[in-house]
Amino acid sequence: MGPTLMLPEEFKYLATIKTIVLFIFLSMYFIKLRWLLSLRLGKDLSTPKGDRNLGIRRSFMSNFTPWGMESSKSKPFGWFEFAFLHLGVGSAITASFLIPYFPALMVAPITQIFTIFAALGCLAALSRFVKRVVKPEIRVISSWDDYFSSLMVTVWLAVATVALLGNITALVAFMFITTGLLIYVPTSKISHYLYWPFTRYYFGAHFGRRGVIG
Amino acid sequence: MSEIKPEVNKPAPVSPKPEANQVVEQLDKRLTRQLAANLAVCAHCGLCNESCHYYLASGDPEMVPAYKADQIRKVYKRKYDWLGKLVPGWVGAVDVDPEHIDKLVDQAFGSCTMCRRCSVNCAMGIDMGMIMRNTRAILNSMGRTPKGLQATVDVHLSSGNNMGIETAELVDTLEWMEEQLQADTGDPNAKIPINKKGARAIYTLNPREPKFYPLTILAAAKVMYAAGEDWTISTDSWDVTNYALFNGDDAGAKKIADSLAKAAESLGVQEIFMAECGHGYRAFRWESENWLGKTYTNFKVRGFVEVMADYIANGRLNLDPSLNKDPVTYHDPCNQARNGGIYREPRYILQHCVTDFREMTPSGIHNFCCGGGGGALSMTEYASRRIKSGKVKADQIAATGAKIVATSCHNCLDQLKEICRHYGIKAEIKNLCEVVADAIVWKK
Repeated sequence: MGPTLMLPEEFKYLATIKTIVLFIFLSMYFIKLRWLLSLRLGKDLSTPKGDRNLGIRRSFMSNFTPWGMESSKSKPFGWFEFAFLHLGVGSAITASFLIPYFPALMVAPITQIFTIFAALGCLAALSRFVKRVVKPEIRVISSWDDYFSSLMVTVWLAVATVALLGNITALVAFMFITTGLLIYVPTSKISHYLYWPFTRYYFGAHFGRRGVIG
Repeated sequence: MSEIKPEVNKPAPVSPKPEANQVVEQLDKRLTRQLAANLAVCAHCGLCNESCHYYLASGDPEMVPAYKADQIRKVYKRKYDWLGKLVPGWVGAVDVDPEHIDKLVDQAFGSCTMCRRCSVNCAMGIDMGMIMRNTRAILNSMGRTPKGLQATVDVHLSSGNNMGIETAELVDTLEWMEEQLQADTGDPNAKIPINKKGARAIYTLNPREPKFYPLTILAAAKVMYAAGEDWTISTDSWDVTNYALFNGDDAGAKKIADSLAKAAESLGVQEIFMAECGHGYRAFRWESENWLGKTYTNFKVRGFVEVMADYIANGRLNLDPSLNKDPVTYHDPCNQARNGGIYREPRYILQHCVTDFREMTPSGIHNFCCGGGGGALSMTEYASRRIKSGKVKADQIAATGAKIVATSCHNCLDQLKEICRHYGIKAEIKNLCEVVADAIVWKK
């Protein structure tokens, strides 16, 4: 995608809309986090056997070391799917901010890398959506929110890929969908990443203290 | 999964509203930061599916760990989730009704042993054991604990041990085993000391031992005798178990733990050795200080497996592995390995006690639950499901070709015996201390 993909005035409007939506998005997360942190923290008084801090480090690393978890070791395809999906989402969301705020940065090879990741992410998201629809053991744990979020991310990544290839219509659609997503995400299951650092931390502290991991 | 609908401890029918309110009120009371994060974080990815022995054995989608946890998560979402409040159906939130409470009972007590295998296989690190125990606690406060499990806790609280064994009966058994110890060691002064003030350590017992497996007491006594340990058994409090870990009754769990702590303090011991009982070890070693709200400072708590490994490491046992020539495998009790950090010690012990050790796949903290955890053996209404879920473990054992399955837990021991019988596996099930005792070389 070249730097002249959109006119500067259009960037200005986009940046304004994006800023408003981003403020709403962050406010929603702030409220959620404030509520979570207002809850009582369960303390562990047991005498430690292992290294709590090492447990925490290992816990956070477990998502990046697929050989450590049987569920990812036995299904490497699933882990790559997970990795590509998250890389794709990361690339697309970064691009969606760079376009209105720092359009000059949207040049090759950055756009090319983002395009590849978004495309791979789209395929991974599609594969996961199909599994959610087809597999009874995934269907049984899926709510409308799960289907909608999954489908929304798949479509968004597809549109992002086309937009990053330089299609203006797709770019406008991409920015619109991103805006919608920013509003919807804090209310949906996609906000799991907000809680992930907490659960990973608690897991590592708990099992590290007991000498189970670490 | 097709089976008889379990009969659970249902109170007299009341209007649905108060019971429904109780679930929400209790959830509100128990909601910590950890629990809320664990309930909110699930992305329903399905990665946990194949970590669960119930699911693997049945193929029933309702046995998927995320589905089981979802039953209380639905209640959480209805009360705390923004969309759950506005459009509950969209996020799968529900209003609690009697049918949903029945489902919670079935899922929390009858479909999960709280082994946490799904937790170590979850990308988010969701503590499913914590979710399930809290669900059990909520149901317990409503009188919905299955009868058998509740009775085990009630008997413990009323009699001091979960089988209602009288002190005289216990002492008789200990004296009998003492005579056996003297005969086996050839030492007429060999003792099973009772209520010895100032002993270095208290040894606890599983009530199944004096009742059904006295030779396990003998084996442990032999190990401690051979190691020259200064130990005793307290008749005030000797039961290693604490089934309140499983029924979710924190007040009961606290009372049971407090009784053992007081016995240790009154005898002035430096250590408590937790007999080979997975949940008993976990309950006292890892949970009791939290129930009691204090850290033990007067004594140390160790599992007997850790103690035996320590004896070997310090050269206190003269062992000959050739005395155990049959192939041996080891089943890691979930509450001792995955939930308690004892998984290296048993292997170290077996390296010194047997000639042919065969590891199960997977093992250690990744080991499959045998199906007997979570108080499952006391809930007869779920017996068929328990045996069915044990197929995964039975296949693991069969694959090793071992003739002896060593373990460190009486619930595991009984379940392993039952599944080996059921699935036609010819293997003897032993506690680890029995394998160690068999390898001891006695001085002539």
